[in-house]
Amino acid sequence: MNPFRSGIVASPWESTVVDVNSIHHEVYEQCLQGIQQVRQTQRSAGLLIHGEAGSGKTHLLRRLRTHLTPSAPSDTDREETLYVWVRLQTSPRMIWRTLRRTLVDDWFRPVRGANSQFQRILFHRFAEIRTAEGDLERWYEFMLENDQPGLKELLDQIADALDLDRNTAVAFEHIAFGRHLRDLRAWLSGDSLPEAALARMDLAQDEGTDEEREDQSRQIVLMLCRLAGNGLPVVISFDQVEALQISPGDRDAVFAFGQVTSTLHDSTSNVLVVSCVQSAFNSILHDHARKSDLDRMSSLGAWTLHPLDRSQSRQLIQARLSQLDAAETETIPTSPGWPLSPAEFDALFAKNAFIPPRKLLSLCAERFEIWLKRSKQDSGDDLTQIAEPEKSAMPTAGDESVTSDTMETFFREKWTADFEQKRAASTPERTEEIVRHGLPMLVRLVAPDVKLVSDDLLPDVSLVFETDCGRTGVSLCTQANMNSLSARLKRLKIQQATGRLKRLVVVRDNRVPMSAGAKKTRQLLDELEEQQAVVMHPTVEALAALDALRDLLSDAKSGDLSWHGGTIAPQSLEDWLVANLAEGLQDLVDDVLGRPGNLGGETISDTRDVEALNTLLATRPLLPLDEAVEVLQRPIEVVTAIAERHPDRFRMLSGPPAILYRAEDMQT
Amino acid sequence: MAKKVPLLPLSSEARESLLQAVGSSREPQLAKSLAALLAPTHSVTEAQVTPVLEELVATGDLQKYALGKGKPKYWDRDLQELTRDAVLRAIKESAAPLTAKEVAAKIAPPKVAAANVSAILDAAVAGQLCFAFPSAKATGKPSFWHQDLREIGRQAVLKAAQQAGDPFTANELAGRLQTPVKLSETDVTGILEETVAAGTLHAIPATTAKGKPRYWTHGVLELGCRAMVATINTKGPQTLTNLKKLLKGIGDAQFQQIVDRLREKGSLVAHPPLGTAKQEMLGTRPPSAVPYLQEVGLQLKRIVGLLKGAHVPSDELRRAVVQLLTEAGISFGTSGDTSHLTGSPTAAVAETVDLVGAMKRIEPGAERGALVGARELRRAVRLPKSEFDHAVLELARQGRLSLHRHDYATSLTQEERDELVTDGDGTFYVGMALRPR
Repeated sequence: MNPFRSGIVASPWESTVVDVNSIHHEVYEQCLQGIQQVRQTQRSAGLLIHGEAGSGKTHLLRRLRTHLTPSAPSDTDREETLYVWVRLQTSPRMIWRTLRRTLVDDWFRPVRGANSQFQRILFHRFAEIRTAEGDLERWYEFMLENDQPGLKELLDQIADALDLDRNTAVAFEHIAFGRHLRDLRAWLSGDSLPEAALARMDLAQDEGTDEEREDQSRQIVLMLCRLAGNGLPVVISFDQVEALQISPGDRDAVFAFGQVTSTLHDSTSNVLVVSCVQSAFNSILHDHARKSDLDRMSSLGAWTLHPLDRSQSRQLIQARLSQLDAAETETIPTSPGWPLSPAEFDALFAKNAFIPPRKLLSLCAERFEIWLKRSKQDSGDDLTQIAEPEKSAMPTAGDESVTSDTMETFFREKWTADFEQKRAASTPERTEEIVRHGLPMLVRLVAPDVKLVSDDLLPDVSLVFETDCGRTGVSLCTQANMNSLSARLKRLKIQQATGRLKRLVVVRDNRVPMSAGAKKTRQLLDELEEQQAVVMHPTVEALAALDALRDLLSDAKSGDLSWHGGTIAPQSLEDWLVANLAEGLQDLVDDVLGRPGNLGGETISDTRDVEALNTLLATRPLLPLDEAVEVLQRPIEVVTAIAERHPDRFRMLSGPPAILYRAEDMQT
Repeated sequence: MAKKVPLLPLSSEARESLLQAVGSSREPQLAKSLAALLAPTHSVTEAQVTPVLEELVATGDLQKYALGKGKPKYWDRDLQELTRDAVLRAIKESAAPLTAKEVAAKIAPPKVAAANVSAILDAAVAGQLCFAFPSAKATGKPSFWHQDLREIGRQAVLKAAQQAGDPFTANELAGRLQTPVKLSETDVTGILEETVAAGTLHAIPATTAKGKPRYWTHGVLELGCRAMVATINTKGPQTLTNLKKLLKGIGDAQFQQIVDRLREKGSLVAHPPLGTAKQEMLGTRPPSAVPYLQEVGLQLKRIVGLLKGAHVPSDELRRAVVQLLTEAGISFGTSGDTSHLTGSPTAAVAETVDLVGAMKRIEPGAERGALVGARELRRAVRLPKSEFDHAVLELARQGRLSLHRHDYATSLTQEERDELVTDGDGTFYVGMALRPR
């Protein structure tokens, strides 16, 4: 075991392995004082934290999150705090939606077997009004089992007192009674849900234009913060703010971020906004954010994560070594600063009196690795058995590979790991965010002459690319709710008719088929195609590749992509990505921009048939070809041709009987 | 035999010939001489030519010079002006001042009397065209030169004084001067006294009662400082009492000032009492640690021997000793101790510019560690780039602030990069934050 591995903390939700409290102690204390101030003054506040790449921003957030995790059951007089970590890998026009989804995910997240943060809100609200004394959680369990009407009555009291809107009150009630939690989580996250699911939960869902949906998300976030109440402060920490910038000099991103922090600051009374930004981003923030936003972002001050001095460096090394078991500890040299030699340790501080933690850990990891091999060699062990597990270990997100000999190898391994992870975690609910954030990055890489522009007169067209030949618009139509989809298509028809776009691309997701009864929706899609719109269905692989691409680029921009202790410049990664463009990504760009040779095979009837077959197979995953022909009322040759023409979507077992199925169903 | 041709009378055309004769003459001529100079075809007497010459004088074509009791002479040039030019040229071309007689001797014909030359020179001195220098002898004649000998002397004295490593007397300095005219001790003394009065040089008291006054570019305190450092360097670290004895002629107050000044500059280091000595010593370098640690070393050797005898593992001993030394304040790094840097020129720049103060002005939160952009600080202090960069790096080396790198500065434009701080080895820093003290 190399205790110096894992120099990067990928998420504050990771469990803490080792922590040196004296490092960044002052800033950490400021965070705690900030929470106390919010609790006491009942006014929201902001803390701005700077740090260079590898200085430990996410590590600090993990310490804070760990501290805020309750170690005992909720009780009437026990102060608690809620926590949200938002990694801003998103489009500047979707910040509120990303914040909403992240907040809901984090509040539903079970922590070390304890209650979710939503349940903690519930307990605190009960604690404010219940008359009984004693253990709060046991009382709640009793009420749930023996007095549900009484519990409902209390919930109504809370809703009235907080002036909750109907939807939030109903959602709160579902949480209290543990009902429909999966759909409820999706609803709270802003996912489009089928009418049946909404009906089951007795909740409504309005899907307006892009701007309206963003505004709805803003309202939901503010409402949820209000639900938590002044007795339960909420820490919302923003990380990777740099990733919001699609391209260098992108002013919209910083402006949008400033607006979000200001809204949270002014429209809530129990939120501490902790914004973590790279030191190199400091001047961009000051140049592009409004002064008033910046003031709110740092209303409790701007703080810096200092690199480590000699003493802190020794403490960190010692803490990491303490992870070794007793037998391992006995074998290692005991000189201070080991595995670095005294001279090497001194050399680190020769030019500058300080060193970033990540750089120190990376160097220690390399030296430890060398020592490990030598000591095994001295003891006569088989070196291949030592080296193999290290080399074969696939780097995971946030784990710096110290075994990658070249940057090329590192990129390849990192890409493979990231891509596999994204493919496994791919869900249609994330498609919109992936495309809206990732596609502009991809287009910038492979078609740098194409500009991303905005057009306020096309509110349902999320992305507009401009070339010398005209404008191409991309609209994400991945709603599972057919009413919402229908409304979107209807508006798109009107917007397409304005002639502001030379080409309109409607992006659908195969995994969200149109329901069998959505005739109106299907008809609208046909009509859009008649207006020269193009319907495309990116494959799961293409979406996973796009997700991996945006993830890696965001990490690079935020200084979180590290190799041998050094931070990899976004340009280096971009060069590699262009030279090693993943399969499907070039096609994706060509399809979107309508470059020659793409989407030629999809005629109007083809799209209609593809949608119909997809809908059918979504309900009957393994369907004999004959039955498909009968249901679709199309000749067998046509259905067979559709399956053969779209092997990325449909597969067919030759039989007999021939069986049809969806490609993604097999993958899942 | 040739027939005798009669001479022609003085015609009007002959006037031109007369003027030509005057113009070709190197000096004023008598009317008789001019009549003789006319062409032999003319039969002209002195009486005939004189009215014509007088007429030419009246029209301004000729000048008439009445010299003593003799007959007047005639010339077409201004003899006074010519003499004046010749006199001034003579003293300008001379390598040293000249008397009027010496000048007269150097002038080409027409010869000018010394008295006339003297009058011309006096007028030139009054018109600041040359300088007069009285003779060293009471009866001697003054000499004249186009350069101010006193100013030359003053410059020479100052130059020699600046080059002098030690105090000097006027006589010593006079011997070192390189001037066109040798300056006497009195001349040099006069110049030195003037310079002292102007504050350019300092007067240093004579070393003995009969000694002559000395002069130097530094004052008495500096002389004392140098003498003290030289004494210590020669004789080794000394107690204050010994130094007072060794530095004769310096009063108590001045002695104390000298000691304080040297201590402030770090040129004098106090050595803790060693062994049985009770007084601290003063040296010019830190004391050698060896004699001070000798006793501890002997004790350590003894205890290590005992512990080894008790089978304490070597690793544990090493760890304990390292810990002991670390706790005693000994860093095992070479770069940790940056106190030696505080006297460096860059440190001085950092102190002068007060970068820390500027950081606090730009960012009110800087005191508690808020980041200050390199660009903003650079614009605030307006130092040349290299000077600013060095000053910032110096403060970082001293541990007073931490620098924050820009990890991919190559993606920036040259202009943007220039606003960052660079160490010259390819590392760029985007900002800095004060470290808590």
